[in-house]
Amino acid sequence: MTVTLTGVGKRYRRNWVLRDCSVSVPAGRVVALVGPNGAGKTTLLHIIVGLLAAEEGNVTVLGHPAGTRETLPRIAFLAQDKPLYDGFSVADMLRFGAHTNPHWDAALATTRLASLEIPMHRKVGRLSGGQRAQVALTVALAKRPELLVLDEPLANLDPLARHDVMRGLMAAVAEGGMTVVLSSHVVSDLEDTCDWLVVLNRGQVQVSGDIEDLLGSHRLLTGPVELADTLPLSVVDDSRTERQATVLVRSGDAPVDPRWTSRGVGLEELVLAYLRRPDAAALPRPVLA
Amino acid sequence: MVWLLWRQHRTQALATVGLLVVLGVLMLVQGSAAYVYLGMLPVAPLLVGIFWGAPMLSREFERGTHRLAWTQSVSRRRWLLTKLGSLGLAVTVAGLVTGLMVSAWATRFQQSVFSDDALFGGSGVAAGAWWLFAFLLGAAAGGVLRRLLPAMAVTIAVFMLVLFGLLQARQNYAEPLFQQSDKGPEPGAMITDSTWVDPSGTPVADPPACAEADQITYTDCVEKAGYRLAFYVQPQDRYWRFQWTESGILLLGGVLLAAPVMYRVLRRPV
Repeated sequence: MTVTLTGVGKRYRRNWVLRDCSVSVPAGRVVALVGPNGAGKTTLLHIIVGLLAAEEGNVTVLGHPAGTRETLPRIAFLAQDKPLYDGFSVADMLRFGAHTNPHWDAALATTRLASLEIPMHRKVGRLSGGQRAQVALTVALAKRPELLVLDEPLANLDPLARHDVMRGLMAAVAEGGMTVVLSSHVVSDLEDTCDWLVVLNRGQVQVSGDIEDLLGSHRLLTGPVELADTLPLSVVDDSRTERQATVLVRSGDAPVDPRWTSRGVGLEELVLAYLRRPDAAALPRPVLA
Repeated sequence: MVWLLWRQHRTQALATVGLLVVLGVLMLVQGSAAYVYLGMLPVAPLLVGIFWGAPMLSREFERGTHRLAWTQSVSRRRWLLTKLGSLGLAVTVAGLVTGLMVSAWATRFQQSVFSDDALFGGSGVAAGAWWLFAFLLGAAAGGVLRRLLPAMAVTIAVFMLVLFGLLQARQNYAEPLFQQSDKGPEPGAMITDSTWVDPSGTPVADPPACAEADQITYTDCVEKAGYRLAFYVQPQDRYWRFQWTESGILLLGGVLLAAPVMYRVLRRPV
């Protein structure tokens, strides 16, 4: 497991931003952390990279507690506003990375920026939003991390920049086998690239699992509203009109009345259904070590 | 981190060196007339506080770059201690250089560094202590307030309070000596108070015989009645003792301000 959170809680003043969060991320996965604004995604990511200390619970990253000397060189973080030193030139940002990290891959950094045609001597403050995002991502990637954490990396980017950033990210993942955790409140951006889903809602983990498994184990049933209460399957969400009910269920072996039509569910529909029902959860069964 | 320290702080370092050079040249060229500028010496540590101390943490928090700096391979603690240590050392050295220049100027042009408020704080060891104190004050303000402008404002306010406080307190670092001499107070001494004494040597607040006299004839009346002027002084040989006392107070104050703030920042609340 690359990242393991057990019972993590974090309070801000008197409100619990995260409460009893437990999630495990296997190595080599690209994790989509989704949830509405204010769900606690940023707080969770800050705890994982060691910027915040959790009030309750344990966080283990790459086998060590988060934010320690053992983990810092092996992770990289891209914060939400993609911070860079505005007065530095692009070349200075790379020197910053080289002087604060022992295993800095300078060749990777310069090659990547050259292929993106970002001028090395321009001040970072004068780059466009998309270029800043690429420079910030390059600084993270050139650290050659085992775990790369990104907080809403596609926010405030135009569609072309979003596409370029995701493509660069996927290329890096394909090369290196690193684990990636990225958060977003736009599910469609992540659909094609992520293979593990974590849904965070009101400070609690609602869903955590392999995306293919999740999509395979849920079905969307449509049928007459009179039958809606007698389904033998576990229901996640249902919405009803006067005549029809649309129900998201977890697949099972029990036979279903033939008047229901069934189809597979998309990732966004799945996430929305769970977000509408905070009491529902799809968490992996505890594994005995 | 050496490269990073230089790259982030080179402008303020060069500006400080430049100002020291200008000060030195002024003192050399203008001689004793340079006193006009030296009266403003307390401004120098104030500038250090707001331009070296206050931005150290507050700019990182304000721009969010602390999330970049503290997720590289340098731990938060090492980053903080290195910054505090190296910037603190730099300002202390610069302050001591200023003190050296002022002391040399005073010796050359026969000015007293002891009896003058501005010169005392700007000479010898106390100059370095004032610069370091202001830096630690600014750094603490930046660490608590996390935004640059409020941190600068608080630094200015607290610095002024401490400045006025120590200017008053300075006279009492040791018990003053009571001196009465017809030649007046000894040269170069710090005068803390003065009083009239009657012919037998006892201090008297107001010679009763001259209660009626007006402002112009008062001194004549008093002297004719046999009263003399006496002073409470700190003699000049106490200069270094006072320098170390003031430096100790400033150092202690700076550490008491900065240490809890840095401890809190290290506990990772944000």
